Amino acid sequence: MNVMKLVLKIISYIGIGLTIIPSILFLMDMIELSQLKLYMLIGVFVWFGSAVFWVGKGKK
Amino acid sequence: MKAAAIAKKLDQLYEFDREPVRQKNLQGIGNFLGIFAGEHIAGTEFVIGMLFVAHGVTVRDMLLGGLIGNILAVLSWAFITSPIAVKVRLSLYWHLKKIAGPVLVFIYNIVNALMFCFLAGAMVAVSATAVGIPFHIQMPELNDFYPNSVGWVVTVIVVGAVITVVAIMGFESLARIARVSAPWMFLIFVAAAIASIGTMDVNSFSEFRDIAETKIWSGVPLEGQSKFTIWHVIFFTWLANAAMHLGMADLSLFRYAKKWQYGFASAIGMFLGHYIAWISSGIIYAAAMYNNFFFDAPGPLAYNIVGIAGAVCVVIAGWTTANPTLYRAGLALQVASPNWSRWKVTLIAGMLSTAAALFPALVMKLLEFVAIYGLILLPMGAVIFADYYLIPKIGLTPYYAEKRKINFNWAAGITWFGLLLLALMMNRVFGVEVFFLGPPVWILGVVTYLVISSIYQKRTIISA
Repeated sequence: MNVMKLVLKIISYIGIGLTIIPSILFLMDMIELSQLKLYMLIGVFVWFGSAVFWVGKGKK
Repeated sequence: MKAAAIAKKLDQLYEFDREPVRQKNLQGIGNFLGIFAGEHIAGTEFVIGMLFVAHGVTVRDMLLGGLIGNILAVLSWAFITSPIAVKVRLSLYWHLKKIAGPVLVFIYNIVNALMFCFLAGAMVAVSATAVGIPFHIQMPELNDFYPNSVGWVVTVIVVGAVITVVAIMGFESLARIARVSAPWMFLIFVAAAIASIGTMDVNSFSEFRDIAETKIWSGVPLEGQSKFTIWHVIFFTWLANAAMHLGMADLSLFRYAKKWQYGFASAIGMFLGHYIAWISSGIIYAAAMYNNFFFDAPGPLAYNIVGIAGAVCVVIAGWTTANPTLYRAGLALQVASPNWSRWKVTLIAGMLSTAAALFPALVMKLLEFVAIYGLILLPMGAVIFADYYLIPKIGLTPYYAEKRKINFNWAAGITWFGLLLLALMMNRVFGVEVFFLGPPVWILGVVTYLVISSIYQKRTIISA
């Protein structure tokens, strides 16, 4: 695996984290709903901005 | 002469997969896990879990019924569809043609195309519920049948047009977006459900259990909705993809499997998409009502709890699943229009889908539509099963249309149309709900095909 792909994967996993972790923090009353929505929106950009370069790449 | 022309058209269309799949083209288990995980986390999952809540299922109905139904679906793929697929290794079209003859396969294709158009229409409507949010359009409600506002009509037409144009310009690019989106979409479902629980004053598991029993799956249907029992959940969950397993459409998929056991790969799609995602969308819907947010459309529901990420998820979930469905509809419709290019038939399919999407009933009655869709194609799956396992055992000829060079196998035709007529009668006259008709229709399909074949094959041999 080359370094670029590894970096992209790490960024994608951060996007995954931004998608799921805020909901758990909200459930535990650690963040507000508005913060949850903001973090999840950032997660959209982080996931799609990185995953598009490696998920399903080369598969038909 | 006409039948011969139809047969030629069909054969040309499916030319690329005329031969059984070769050993070197077989695929590993990973591909099947990926396909099932991707295809069963769709826009419709947002609606189905919500509708179970609206129909008043209980916690036990949802959790146990969903578990049993999904296990039955996986077993159907593993023990009925994939064993035949890996032995014959032909697509559904070629397999059915050998049994039923080109004319009957032609009719089957057209019916299938129409079903695909309606299914794509449901996806267009799901996407439209999210696209319409910034424009404050009046969203459809649970009991709406006809379009309820000009805004809804305009939104659906715009969304349908965009989806159709993209499908015409290139199916592949969106298929890739679908692959990238699948894991993220699943997490949006889960995250939205977790966040929804957070809005319901829950501080412990026992409090969540109380809320689940009284506010989410309370056992009381909403006004205007029929009451569902555990049997509804079991049968619906089992047969949500009946066309694919008992109906044998996935012969085309599993012909690439190295082993029949790959049928168990369906479990990933069933338990992520048809269990966790349905449970999640039920929680999202109930939590919205708990917080006095009375919307029945998936777009506003997802936006309400997780913001723009939720709305984007609804658009992508609807779009990425509408696209391959439109492609399949176009492929199936192309047999009816010999000289038309693919873009023209995709355009027709897109227009049909968009017209269907205008009617909110397609989404709000999605459970009934999905059940009917499976039911219509089930008898042909029974014919394939009987022809492969049982016809040779009772001394009759399998692949009868191919061997006798006939265009229309009446035994298969009577089985299909007769069983559909019987199903209609059982529903209309005896009041059997459409959700429960699948298994008896399939079993009767096997028996009917054997009985009629034994008469028909002898008669055609005598008259020949």
